Amino acid sequence: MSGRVGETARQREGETGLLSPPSAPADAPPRPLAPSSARRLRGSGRWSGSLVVGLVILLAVLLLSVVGGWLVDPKDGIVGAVTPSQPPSARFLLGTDSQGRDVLTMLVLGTPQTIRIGLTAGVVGVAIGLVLGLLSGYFGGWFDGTVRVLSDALMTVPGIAILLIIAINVGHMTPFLMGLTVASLSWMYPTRSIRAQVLSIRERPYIAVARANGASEAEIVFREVMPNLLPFIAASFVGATSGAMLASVGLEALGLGTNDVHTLGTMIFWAQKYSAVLRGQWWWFGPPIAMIATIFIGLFFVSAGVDRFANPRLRQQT
Amino acid sequence: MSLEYLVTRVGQLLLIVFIAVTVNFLIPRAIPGDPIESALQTRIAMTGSTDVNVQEVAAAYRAKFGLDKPIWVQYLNYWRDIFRLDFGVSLVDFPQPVISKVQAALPWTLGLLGVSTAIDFTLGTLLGALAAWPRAPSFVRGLLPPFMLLSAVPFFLLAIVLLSIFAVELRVFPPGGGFDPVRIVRFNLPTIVDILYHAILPSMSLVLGGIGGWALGMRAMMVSTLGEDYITFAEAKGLPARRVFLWYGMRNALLPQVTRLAVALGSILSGAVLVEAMFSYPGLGGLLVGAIAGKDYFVIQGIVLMLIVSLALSLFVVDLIYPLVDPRIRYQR
Amino acid sequence: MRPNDAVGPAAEPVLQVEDFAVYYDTPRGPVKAVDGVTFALRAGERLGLIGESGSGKTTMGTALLRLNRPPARIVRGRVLLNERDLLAVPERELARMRLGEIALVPQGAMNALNPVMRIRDQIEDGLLAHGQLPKRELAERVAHALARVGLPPELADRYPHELSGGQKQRVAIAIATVLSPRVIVADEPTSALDVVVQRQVMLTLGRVQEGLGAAVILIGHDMGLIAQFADTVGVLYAGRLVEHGPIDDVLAAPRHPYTRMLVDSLPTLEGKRELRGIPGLPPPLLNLPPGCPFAPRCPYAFDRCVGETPLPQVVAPGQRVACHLYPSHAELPPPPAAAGARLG
Repeated sequence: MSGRVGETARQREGETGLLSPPSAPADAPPRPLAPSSARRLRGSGRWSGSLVVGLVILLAVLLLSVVGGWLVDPKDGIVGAVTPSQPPSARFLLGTDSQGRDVLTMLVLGTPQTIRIGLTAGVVGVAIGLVLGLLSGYFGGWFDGTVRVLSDALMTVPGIAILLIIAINVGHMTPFLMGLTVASLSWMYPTRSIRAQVLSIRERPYIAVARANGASEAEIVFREVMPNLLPFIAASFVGATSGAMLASVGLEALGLGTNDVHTLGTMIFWAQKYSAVLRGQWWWFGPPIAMIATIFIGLFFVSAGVDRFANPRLRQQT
Repeated sequence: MSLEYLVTRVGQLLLIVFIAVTVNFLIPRAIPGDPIESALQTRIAMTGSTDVNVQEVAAAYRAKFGLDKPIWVQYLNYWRDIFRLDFGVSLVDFPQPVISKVQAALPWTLGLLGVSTAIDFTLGTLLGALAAWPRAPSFVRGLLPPFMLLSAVPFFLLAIVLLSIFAVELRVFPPGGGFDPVRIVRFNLPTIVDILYHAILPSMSLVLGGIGGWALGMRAMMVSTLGEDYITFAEAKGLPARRVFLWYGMRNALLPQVTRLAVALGSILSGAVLVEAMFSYPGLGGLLVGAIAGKDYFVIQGIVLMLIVSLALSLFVVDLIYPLVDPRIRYQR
Repeated sequence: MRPNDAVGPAAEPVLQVEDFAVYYDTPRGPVKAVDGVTFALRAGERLGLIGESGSGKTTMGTALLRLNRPPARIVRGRVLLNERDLLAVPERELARMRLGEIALVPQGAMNALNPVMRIRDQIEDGLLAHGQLPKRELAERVAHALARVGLPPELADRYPHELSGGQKQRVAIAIATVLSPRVIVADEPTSALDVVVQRQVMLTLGRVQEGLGAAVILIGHDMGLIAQFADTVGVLYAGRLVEHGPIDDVLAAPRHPYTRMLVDSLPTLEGKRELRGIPGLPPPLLNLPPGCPFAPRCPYAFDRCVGETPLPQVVAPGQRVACHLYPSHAELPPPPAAAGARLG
């Protein structure tokens, strides 16, 4: 509906109108930022309420683990350390499990491990995604085709299947190895997202200008393309970390987690194994569930906030 | 439906199965060490059982899998075994073939998956569509945030919470299993009711955790659809609001939503497996827990392959539905 | 293309628009897209409303049927159709009047047909919304509606994506006229169509309209198209009707300076001439200053134009103009030689 007065006025207000053709989804690709405006982002007031809430939640969780780490004695987390199956009391704030371990200790020690696994996988996933996405989107060809088919297939397959096969073959599981295991499935989404954005940036006039000015392809990639990817990298990172944590907790709850290191998922596994739910020992499985839920809700808010100024769900699948 | 379309979709599914099976083949062999021997050794170490003669079984499998043969031969043998549905023998319940265990579990998983997905897709889509419609009662919009928060929590954690509240504390629902073990299972109404009764909590875990995602996606699609010109023209015809909402709005917004269903099936299946594990539900998930505990390597492999096949089948079903929803697909390509 | 003037349209007005105003609510204040438009439409009359982008013409098209969406808001006015005010009737009555008495023919560029419904269903649901009909009669009405716009009945079982642009527009006309409305509002019905198809669609619209004896409001920016089709023309500028009268009279001797410049800007087949445009841009409709909105671009402007908003006045039978040059002048004087020259 060209020429509508209202639309013109609204555009002057600074809002972007829905300029997509009819029956295209609402999230049209955002206009990528010219390099200088990427620097302007920091003070641009794009900190939405969602983002702040999420970050506050996550910060609280981290604080709890750090402070708690100073206050608890790791020895209380070893089998047989204390009286088993005690409900919460003044001495054991979160009670003890049926193997004689203090739940609060396990929680405080386990939370940072779970986070660490998520972050490891998030970093690896985004790193792979950045490399593959850049190369795939910028140079295209058979490489792009292969990456696309592979990532499509892996995204469709039930993740648990792939993870099971990897996890079952890892002899001695450590948090780092768990991180790598779940990283195997965390690279696809960042790759897709970054690739789509690279495809759109590639056609921009300032790229042609840079090329005409004699810049090499590598220089173009690093100086012109990458800065515009930062919001998408951030969004992918949050998504990858979140997904990785989910996968790792799932694997751990099934019994494929670390044997000697506490994580939130392994706590749940031991609780299940010793029928804590059926015995009503809520202090054993409740806290890790609450902690996991809190972390995920925090990540949910953060990703909603990050999505606000970077839309990774680009529908252009060329 | 055009033949080309069918062939394309089948081809894509076969490709997925092919890639997944190949990955399943490569990974154990990529990791150093003899997987079977180490699995057997671990099993003995973990469970302390010596009912299986390690050397005998290892030797039999080595011969069968031809681990000394070149990798090409192994690969072809692998495929041959898959087509013959020969996944080996369970270590936990030696010598029961893996395929029989997995076969028994599969219908439970498919049933749980199918019913739960149908419910939460329908409810979530409806909720999302109403939330986008200006004429809907305002309490609908208030329903969204709690479901969205719930959807951030993993399904199996919801499962544990539901289990502890409703099965243990309130004793309204059974604490696990697919049916009452005491009952004689026959295909009659009481059995069906019993099965449904046992399925409610596992299903609820999937539904409660899933609605938020569907609703959010549908709401976005509806908002976009309601801005289309054909909505304005429909109103200009003096059509009742309900007709515009359902036939002009929802019907069009549904198309991308169904696509999203196809994409999400993999992760829903993963979630269903974990939920089953928590409830000891006799599907692939319940089987999995026992297999992991007993380090039953072949059963786990069998479950993995069966999961991939389940997904391929589910995707196929969704793909068949799609042309019914979007007439444009019918006549194109 | 125009009906024979001897058999002219009947005298009583079938549609009366009084002081119609539609504003857009923006954070910076109201944007007055339509600001007090008044006109009457007789049965069978073809009114062409012409204006540039930003004149408010499209807003008016949808708002006349109360199809405007937030932030567009109908602020005041009456739209009387058979003595009932479209802007005040309750929802149910409005739904009945839509399509039954006043119908919208959508823009040519619009995606006005539901992609997942067959043509037949889209014609039928309009019919069914206005009363129950037996199946056989429904099918007959559908075939008749398609025939009336020159389309074969087999088209009814197709989906919109199988049709060409021109065919889709004719289907839209078929849908709009299926209940024989008294007023048809056609908002740029031929935009985005090529010239040949444009003519076909306009001919179809004209034929159908005549057959029904309906009045048409044709909204557009193409003076040539309107000149060929309309009986009466209304010139919109900045949300106001600055001139209104029979097309021949207005074209031959435009009274408002803007109309004059619009007519002058039309390329002509008679002889070569330098193309003329209208310098300047249409004014932003937010916080429009008092006075004539055309004053900044008007070569005839004088002090009265800046402070006082001109009201429409009758300068000849059936002709109105909103300009301070009248009634002191009988017609538009030749343009002043120097900019800023004073008159009157």
